[in-house]
Amino acid sequence: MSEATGRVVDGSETYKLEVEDLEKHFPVNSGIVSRILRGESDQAVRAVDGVSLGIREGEAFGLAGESGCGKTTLGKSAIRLLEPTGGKIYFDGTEITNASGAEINRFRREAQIIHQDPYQSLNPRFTVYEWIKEPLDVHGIGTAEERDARVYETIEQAGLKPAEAYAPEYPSELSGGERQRVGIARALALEPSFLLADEPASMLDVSIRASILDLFKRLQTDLGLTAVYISHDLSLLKHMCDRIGIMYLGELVEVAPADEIINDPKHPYTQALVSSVPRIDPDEDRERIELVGEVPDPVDMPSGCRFHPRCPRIVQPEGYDFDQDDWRAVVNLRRDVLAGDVDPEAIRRNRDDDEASALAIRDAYDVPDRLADAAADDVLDAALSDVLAGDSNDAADVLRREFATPCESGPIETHQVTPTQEAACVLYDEDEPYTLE
Amino acid sequence: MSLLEIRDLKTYYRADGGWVRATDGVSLSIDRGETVGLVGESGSGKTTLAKSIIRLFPDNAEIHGGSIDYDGTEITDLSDKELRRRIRWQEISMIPQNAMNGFDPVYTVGQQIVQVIRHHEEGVSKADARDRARDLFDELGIEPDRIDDYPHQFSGGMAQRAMIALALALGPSLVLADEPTTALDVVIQDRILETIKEKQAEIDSAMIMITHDMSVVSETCDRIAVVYGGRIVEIADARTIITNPRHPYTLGLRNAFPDISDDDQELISIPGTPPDLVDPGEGCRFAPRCPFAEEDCWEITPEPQEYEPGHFVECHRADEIDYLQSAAGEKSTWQDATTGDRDAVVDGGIVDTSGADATETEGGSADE
Repeated sequence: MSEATGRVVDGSETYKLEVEDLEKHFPVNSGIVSRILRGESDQAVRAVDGVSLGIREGEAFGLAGESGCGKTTLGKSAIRLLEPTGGKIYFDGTEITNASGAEINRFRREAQIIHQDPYQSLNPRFTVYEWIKEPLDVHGIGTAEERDARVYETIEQAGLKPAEAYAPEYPSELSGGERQRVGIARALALEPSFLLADEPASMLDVSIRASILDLFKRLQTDLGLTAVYISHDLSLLKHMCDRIGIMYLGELVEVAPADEIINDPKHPYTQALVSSVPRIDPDEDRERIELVGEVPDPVDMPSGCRFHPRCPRIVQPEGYDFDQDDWRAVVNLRRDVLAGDVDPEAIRRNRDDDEASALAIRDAYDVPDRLADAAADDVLDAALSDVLAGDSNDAADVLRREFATPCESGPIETHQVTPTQEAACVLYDEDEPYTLE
Repeated sequence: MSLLEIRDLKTYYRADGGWVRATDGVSLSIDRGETVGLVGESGSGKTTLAKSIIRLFPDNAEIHGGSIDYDGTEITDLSDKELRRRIRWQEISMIPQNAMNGFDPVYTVGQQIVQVIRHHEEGVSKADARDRARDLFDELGIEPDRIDDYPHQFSGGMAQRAMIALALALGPSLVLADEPTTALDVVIQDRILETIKEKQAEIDSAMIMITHDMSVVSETCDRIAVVYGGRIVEIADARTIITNPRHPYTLGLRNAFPDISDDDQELISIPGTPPDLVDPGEGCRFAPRCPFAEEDCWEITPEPQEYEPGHFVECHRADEIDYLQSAAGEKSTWQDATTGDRDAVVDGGIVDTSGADATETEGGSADE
């Protein structure tokens, strides 16, 4: 945690960009019609919800996670392309959270974004020359001659040579890879020190992706740029980045050096994510980690660890001893009992049974007929009897109390798992003996 | 006998400058229950090849030659109506890239599946068809009650699974899967590929899997065909294509694709752009981008050669496998390669790509 909060690491290393408790919530139902019909809504999509992260000078940092996890929102909020709703942002050690006027203008020159889609992010009516020159004009950089020279220089820096041949072209005359290079040249025009690249290669064909990635690497080395790459492609980030951060539902769940996070992930979500990536090598046997359900609605966040409703390693309640898979199945059943969603009659109908039974309910949730831990089985059995008798509330009370897991309550702290890896997961809380290994 | 036997198939698109030869002399046979992957970059013609089989292509496309024998029937001879009635869905079905677009937004997903079942199978009552739709949903891991939902109420992963349900509803013998998981996140992709594999094994159908993802074909396919410039340039069992390919393009693709298990991989891109298929001319179509191209490569179109049983390669230099494999692994090999008679520039230089684009936009068959 110390790394994520200090501005200076070990008194020597400085962060290029740092966010503290950054938050970006989007209001839901803020349209005028829903306001009139339903009144003001205080619901919000918590796209980024309290992220603290420091990007080191000169490093290549990868942000990964599934669609909707908030990685793009985090990136854009961190460079104030979106206004954060909470938290602080530091750039080169200076707080810029509320900067305005000349200060924000200076920052905007320093931090540039490269968009995902080279087919849509260029203005088709601008020539390459005009498109790259525009930011120089907007910021009033140098004299006319200097701007002109700078345009040609950046075209070449982006690997489009000879620059004179590309300058008068319109985007429609360029290939996808060339367009992406034009986007990069425009970002470079203002001589930034920080780049945010949002899925910089995902729209490009596999055959030329590597050349764009090489360009980024070369620019980082030659110009000393710091870069954050946002991508859902873990193989690509592993290849590109020094460190990778994994996001889930608006939170950063794990940060580690690229090789370590892929080869030895610590957070159960990262483990599942990495295990889902198909492998090229036909001799590599990959063990896929199954997850329950799909990513929940970001308006209605789970309590505690946001991953706990799906986590295969969800921590067991104190005093009981389950087989972990059985425990996961019990948690699924418990969740539905707590939500009042278990309907014995519907289960009976689906199975074509003569009458509803506790065994049928267990079976529907893949819970074994008898749990190995007799005490746990008694608790479950009593709860299921209540459900069958129509006393869902009693069942919910029993299960909520007896089978409480530390994963579902309180803020989840980030733990330093190895000297270089940190994960937000109670499994790594040294004060609590949850470890499963 | 093979389930499907494609011989010298030519599918062209009418475009301003003439015919775009999107599929230009492809032969491919598929056995019952077999999964064959088609890999290649956008505009290579892999989607056109698959869509030609059930003629699901736009009006400006035409089969210009060749034959497609499906289980003893020459389907290029069938009228559109016969093809629709006898082949599509019940014999050969398709899982499109974007399931959301595959469904009609004004009907519930259930109504659409019921309609497909009843259209193709006479005498099935609405109630029976609905029961089957519910069962399919259940097997594919979607709540059966959700058959009454409209497509927009589904998440991307669920819509894709519903599309698989539709594609498998009539127990087809061949499924064409066009980038079935490209738009999905990796966790869902993995689950869907697993589901497809399970269902496919259950109904014992063959499959053509179109993708640009080498790791997906490696894990799901029995054989892999590498498509370039409207032709299959290399085909073999999956292991051979991944570990022991002979065509420089296959080698290039393999080196360009990031491997999550490799800690020190050097990614190497293939300079240049796919060929103009309006007038490809003589010679190997990959020659302009190939670092190993020699005099012959520019002048003589290579014929497929069989190296090991079932391993066919269209390359004049495929005998030099050891040299090709080691040299292709060096970045300098590809960087030094000039892009033929064109300006030697990074991503293909300023070239007129309208020919290739015609396949994509006018043909409406975007691969990616």
